[in-house]
Amino acid sequence: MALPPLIPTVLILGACFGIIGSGLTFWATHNYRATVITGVSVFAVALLYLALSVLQKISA
Amino acid sequence: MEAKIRYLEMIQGAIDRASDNSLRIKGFAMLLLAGTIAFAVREGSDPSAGLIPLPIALVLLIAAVSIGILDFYFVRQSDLFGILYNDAMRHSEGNVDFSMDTRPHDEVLSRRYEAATPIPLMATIFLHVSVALVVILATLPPVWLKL
Repeated sequence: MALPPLIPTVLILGACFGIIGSGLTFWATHNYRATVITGVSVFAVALLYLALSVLQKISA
Repeated sequence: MEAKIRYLEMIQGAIDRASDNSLRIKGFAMLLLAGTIAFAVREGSDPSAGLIPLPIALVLLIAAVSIGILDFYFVRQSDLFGILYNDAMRHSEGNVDFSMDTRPHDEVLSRRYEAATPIPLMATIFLHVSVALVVILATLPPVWLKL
């Protein structure tokens, strides 16, 4: 079975959860600034995971 | 003056409890995540398997969502009681009713959230959504990483 590559998978998951976080923030606050900050922060967690995975792979 | 001070102390107690519960629940969420990953982490180094199995990740995801909803509720209650406190401060001494009903202040809180960036609420949502994301990411097999 052909496995999908990790980088797009993590980016898509990060984007999905970022949208969920943004949606929840907008629902709770109706504040656009808070919405954008939360979405970007959640996406940054996915990027951090990706960076750590790449570093681990390089060092292995 | 005594009645007003007692009333403010009552509200302050409610704010303290809500904030304390929120803090404890955040700690519990972190503990649950770290503990489950530590216990569920797969033995050996099978590159086609993720760090934690999918069924455990799903259970953890449900727990993360439930804890997140509860934490959101406590943060909101803490903010609502803060508004009630401000309102109670403006009451004249003879007008103290000892009401702990926060429903009349829902609109004020919504307007405040719209006007000023609510950092504690944003941090709460960020924390719990990130925990859910990390749980899902931990199920991905490392073999997927092709450089």
